[in-house]
Amino acid sequence: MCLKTGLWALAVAAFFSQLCCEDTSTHPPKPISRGIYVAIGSSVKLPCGDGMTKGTEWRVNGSMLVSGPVLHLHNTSLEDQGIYTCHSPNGGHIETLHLWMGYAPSPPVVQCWSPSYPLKAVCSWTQTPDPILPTYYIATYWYPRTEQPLVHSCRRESDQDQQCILEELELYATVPHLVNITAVNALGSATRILPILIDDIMKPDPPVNVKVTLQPGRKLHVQWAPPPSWPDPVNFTLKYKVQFQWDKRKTASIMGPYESLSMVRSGLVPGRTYHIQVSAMDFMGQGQSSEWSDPVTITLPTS
Amino acid sequence: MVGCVQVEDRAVTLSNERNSIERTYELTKYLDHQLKEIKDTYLLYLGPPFSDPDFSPPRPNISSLAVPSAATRVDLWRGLENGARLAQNQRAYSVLLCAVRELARSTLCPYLQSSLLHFCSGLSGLLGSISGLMNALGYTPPLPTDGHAPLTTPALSPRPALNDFTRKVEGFWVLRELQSWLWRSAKDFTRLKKRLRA
Repeated sequence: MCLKTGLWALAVAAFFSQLCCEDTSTHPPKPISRGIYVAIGSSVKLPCGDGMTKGTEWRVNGSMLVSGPVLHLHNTSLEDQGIYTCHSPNGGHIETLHLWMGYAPSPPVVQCWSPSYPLKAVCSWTQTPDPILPTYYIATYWYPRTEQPLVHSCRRESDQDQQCILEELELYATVPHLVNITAVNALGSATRILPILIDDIMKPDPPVNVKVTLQPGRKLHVQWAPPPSWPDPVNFTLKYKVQFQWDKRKTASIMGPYESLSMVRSGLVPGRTYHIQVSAMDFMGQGQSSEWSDPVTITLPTS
Repeated sequence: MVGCVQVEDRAVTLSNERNSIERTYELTKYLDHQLKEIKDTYLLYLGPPFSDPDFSPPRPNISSLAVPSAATRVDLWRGLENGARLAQNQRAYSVLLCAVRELARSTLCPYLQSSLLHFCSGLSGLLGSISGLMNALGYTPPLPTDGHAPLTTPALSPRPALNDFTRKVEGFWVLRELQSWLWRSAKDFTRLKKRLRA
């Protein structure tokens, strides 16, 4: 009885050992899968496994590409992007390679302006050429005080956004703020440091609520309001220019500057259609003028 | 009858104060306009790299450039009391007047020297205007230190031994400080105008 039980137990153990402890000489290893980032224009050598096994072949998107353990790609382009697979002589799948093409970041081209002086400034940047690969940015700024300068994070919605907001501003500074924008992707990183004097980069948004009304005597009364993004038009006064265009916008005249929020223009031509726009600027002429507001069109009656 | 005259006197005083601030403000704008022209000529006179558009040398931390900084945070600027606001302007322009005089003295180009000296008379007028305003509003102007005793403690000491490049850097910075102050003063006087009107 004991011997029979013992023999039966040994058979069961052998069976289970067969299940859990596989003999690797008869089962192939799992294929390797990896991703590689390559700079467009560069050349690359991709070994299959150890790069020495004869008879292996490389395929791209399923079709045979080259026979041999090493895949050479010269002067790569965007078209080389794809899924490459490497196979053993008997067709077994050894490796899958995702090849991503792109560019390393270049120092971003940064532009800053202040539409909400004196509370906020905005910096926005572009990358030329477009890196193609997913790129994220680190945006910081600091004001070089003699005491410990604090590095601030330039506020953004997400790491991929190419625009950020500066809020802790030093006004009337002779030493510029320094804005640091760093672009990072799988192929490297690049930094631009831009010095800015906040008072120099004022650029209000265009005036709003432009209203034009006809008055007796062929006069036009133009009214507007300061842009809502300008936080303090009382202490940080704006001055305004008004542009009148006619003849299908080929002729224009600009009037102003005005510190008030309205003006009257007389001596206008009956039957003519005028397109009127307003722009704003810091009253001392610092920084830049705003873009023109959307045109308001009015036609003077012929009589 | 006496009450009416007192009210009228106060109204006249307020009106005079507002006119005085308005004149000081207009003078600031005029000086800012003049400075734009002088600065361009002066930078050309200094030559490269000062005349390069994005050139910004480090600010030397030396006593000869002891101009109080116009730099401020918006909340601090808004909270400044009228007397303190005027006193800050007074102190700054006292030092700046002295510095620009020295700049004029050491400038070799006659046209530029003449422009700088003319500018100095404008700055002197601004200082006088600010002092007058402080008196009218009942504030004590700070005691004249550097501005009215240029021979004793000038902001830019004449130092023949000083390296030519360093002197140019100092000159660059004097004009930059002046620009910041004129921008700031225009806003200071606008704020004063509005506060007095309220």
